[in-house]
Parts: sequence; C-alpha cells; structure tokens
Amino acid sequence: METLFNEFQLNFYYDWSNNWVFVVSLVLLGLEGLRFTLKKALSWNMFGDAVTNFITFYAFLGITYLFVITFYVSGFYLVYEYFSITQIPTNGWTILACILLADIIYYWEHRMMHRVGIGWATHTVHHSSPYFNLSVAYRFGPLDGFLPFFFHLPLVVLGFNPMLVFLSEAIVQLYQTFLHTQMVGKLPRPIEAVMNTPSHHRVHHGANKQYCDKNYAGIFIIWDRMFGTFAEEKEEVIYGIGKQINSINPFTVFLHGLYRLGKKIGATKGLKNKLGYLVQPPEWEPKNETNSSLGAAGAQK
Amino acid sequence: MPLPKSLLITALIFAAVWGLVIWKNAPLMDEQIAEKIVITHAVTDGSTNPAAEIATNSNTPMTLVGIKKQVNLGSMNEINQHWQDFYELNELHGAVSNQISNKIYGYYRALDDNFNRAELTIGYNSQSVPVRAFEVLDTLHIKQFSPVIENSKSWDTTPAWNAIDTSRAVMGVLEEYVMGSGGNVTSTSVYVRYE
Repeated sequence: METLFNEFQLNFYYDWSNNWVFVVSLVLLGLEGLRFTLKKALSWNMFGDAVTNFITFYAFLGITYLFVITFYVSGFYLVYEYFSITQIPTNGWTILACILLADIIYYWEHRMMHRVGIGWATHTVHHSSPYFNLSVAYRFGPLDGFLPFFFHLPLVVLGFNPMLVFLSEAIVQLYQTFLHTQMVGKLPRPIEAVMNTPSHHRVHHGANKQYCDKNYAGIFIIWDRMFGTFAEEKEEVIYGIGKQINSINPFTVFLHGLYRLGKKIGATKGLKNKLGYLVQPPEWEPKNETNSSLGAAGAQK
Repeated sequence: MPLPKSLLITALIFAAVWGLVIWKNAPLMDEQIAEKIVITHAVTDGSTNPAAEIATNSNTPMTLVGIKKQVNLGSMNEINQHWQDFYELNELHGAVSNQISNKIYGYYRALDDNFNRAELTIGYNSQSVPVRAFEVLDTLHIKQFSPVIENSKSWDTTPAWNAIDTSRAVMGVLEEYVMGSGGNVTSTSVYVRYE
C-alpha cells in the first residue's frame, strides 16, 4: 500500500482498464445476445438499438476528447499546480481514498444529471433505450463528458494527482458497465446491501413510477441508502423514459434530449423561465405554462 | 433525507477521508515539500558557499524526465555520447513546453568514492513536459544542494567540477543549462550535494 505510483503508471492503468473492460463487455454482450436468441427475444430493433448505443459512445468520445485535450486535462493540471491545497503522494491508500471520494462525487453528479434540466437533457440519452443490456452502458449523451469536470475538480484542489482523479473516475464508470445486464439476478444480501449491483441498476433504469430517480450510485449503493434515494427491485422493470423516443436513429438518439430542451426554451418567454428549464428539475414548468401541451409533454421524465 | 443534510454529511465524509489520507501520507508529504525547495542565493565566483540560503517558495517539484545511464566520469566521449542520445529523444523534445521552462539538467548521482563512475540523468524538469507520458527518472531534494556556480555565461562546467570539495562525500552534482531560443546554452549553473 505504501508503494508510490507515478503519473506514467496511472496513465497506463487508465488506458489498460478502459481497453480491457471494453473487450470484456463485448464478449459479455455476445453472451447476452445468445441468451436473448435462445429465449427468442432478440429482435432487429434490439440489435439496431445496441449498434446505436455504440455509435453514441463514439460520438461522445469524439466530443469528450476534443474537450479533454483543450480544457479538462489542462484545467486539472493548472489547478493542481497553482491552486491545490497540497499535493498528496500517490500510493495504495491514496488510490483507495480517491476512488471512494470519486464514487460519492459520482453519486451527486449523477443525481444532478437527473434533477437538473441541462443534465437530464444529455443524460436522458443513456436512459432512453427500451432495452437493458451491456451495450446500454456505452450509450452516452453529448454533454456527458463535460459536467464531471466541475464535480471532480474539488479532488484536485484537495491535492489528488489529476491522473489519479481520471483513473478513479474511470474505475467508477467502468464498474457500472457490468451492471447493465439482465443476466444477473439478485446477489447475496451483504453484497446487495453495500455494493451497487445489476438489480439496483435495473431499478435506476426503470420508468416505473416507484423506480423514478432512484439508485444513483456508482460503486457503493450505501450513498443511496444514506441519502434516501434507494429503491429495491420488486416489480418488473419497464426500461426507458416517460416519453419514449421510439427510434434507433443514432442522430435522434444522441440529440433528442438537447433538442427537446431547446424546443422548450425556445417556446417559453422570459429569461428567468428559459434559465429555469436549464437549472430546474426536468419536470419543472414555468408557473404560467404549467397547463400548456408542451409543458405536459416536458413534464414526463 | 433533506438535501442540505445530505450535502452536509457528504462534506463530513470528504473531510474524514481526506484527513485520513493526509495523516497516512504525512511523512511522505514532508519529504515532498523538501523537493519543492529552490535555491535562491547566487554564487558567481566559482567557490562553494556553505552558507547558501535555501527558500521554500516554489510549487514545482524537481523531478527529471529524460535519459539515464552509468557513465565513466573520466571519459568525455561516453558523457558526450549520452548527451547525444538525449538529443535524439525527439518525442520528449517535442513534448517540452519552452514557455514553462527552457532548462536542461544533467544530474550525476551514485558517484563512486574515486569520482570515476556515476549515474547520469539528462533531462527536463517534468514540469516543463505537459504531456505526462514520460517516466520520472529522478526526484531531487534540492534543499540538500549547495550552489557551486550560478548563471555562468560559459557552458563549460569544468571550473565548477574543479571547485567541488572532493574531500567530502559527494552525493550528487546537478548541472543546469538555460537554453536560448536558438538552442544554444545562455547560462549554466552547477549545484552539489554533500553528505
């Protein structure tokens, strides 16, 4: 645990974990496909949806890499060098602590993505699939790579090496990749009590009323239990969002959230109302427009 | 749980975990602070100054990225060849930001008793290489170094080496070359670390 890690090594682990999780996911996705085939549940629409998921992933990567190169990395290092309280050496303890803190940050970031208009406009892409399999883990929205910057910046200010913060973000994200499956039922009770599991994450993707805005956790479900946003998987989960998009067109899937938000902002009057759509919860409507048809549609999360 | 209370608990968890990490790493961090120390006194007359003042006013850790090799100190050919190998590290040179630093370092450590052999690292301060893909070869505790020559206009470090007190155990010698825009050396400094 006392061994020190340099940035070169952290960068290696970052790439290694991203690449191998992707490979393992593809293999597991193949198994899932086989399972659906045997159950005669595989359809062209489901296949097209999975392909679309990966297309959104690459679109997200493209946008994120541009952003990362120009802003994310340089921003983190700038803060680390000139504005951090201290610079903590990177050893096993530091890595564990950083992952734990990145996980609780993820909880809040994820909650914000659901409960703030602009966040939901991009994150809705991830939830808009009516299916639930490993490919959904790769279904990203256009701004999904931007918002984590602001949430993880405090870790850099506290003195964690930026490369370690990237690695921790990746670990939290990659852990969840494997939660997007219906192949795994409920795990033993102690695991379900502490860890985020496929069962908990199925609930998170549920459009059922009692599952809405629940189980935001990344690795540890304890944050949801602690902060009152936990729901147990009881009723069968209906996947997707309130107002389904009914499309596997990658452009529609990738941009529908921002399009819907833009449409609402364009149709409302007054700066306060326009800003309200950006920062208020997705179901929010300006008081004078609550009963409008647009408002009613927008209120369906 | 109400949102403010949830946020307060989150802040407390953050403080506790961060505090634990700081406590666990306290000895290492003390050492790291020493690495961020820079020499502020200039000694230009070529002699060592045991009273050289040290100040802790930089956030820049002195870690070197570049190339490292055992060299025979008596063989200028061997040392020059090592410098030549360094000049051929195109990937590294391409990654260096001259806006951050225009200095190249030659760091001799693990010198044997007879001053015959040493491990020579030639490289940049990792701070001047924004692309963090190069392995850090050495971490210097600059606090422990004394200046021998500072800001000399000559690139020749022989007078500085001659001024080193070889009657004392020498732990390391650091040569610092400030590069001009044309790639020429505009100033040279040499620091020594005694046991």
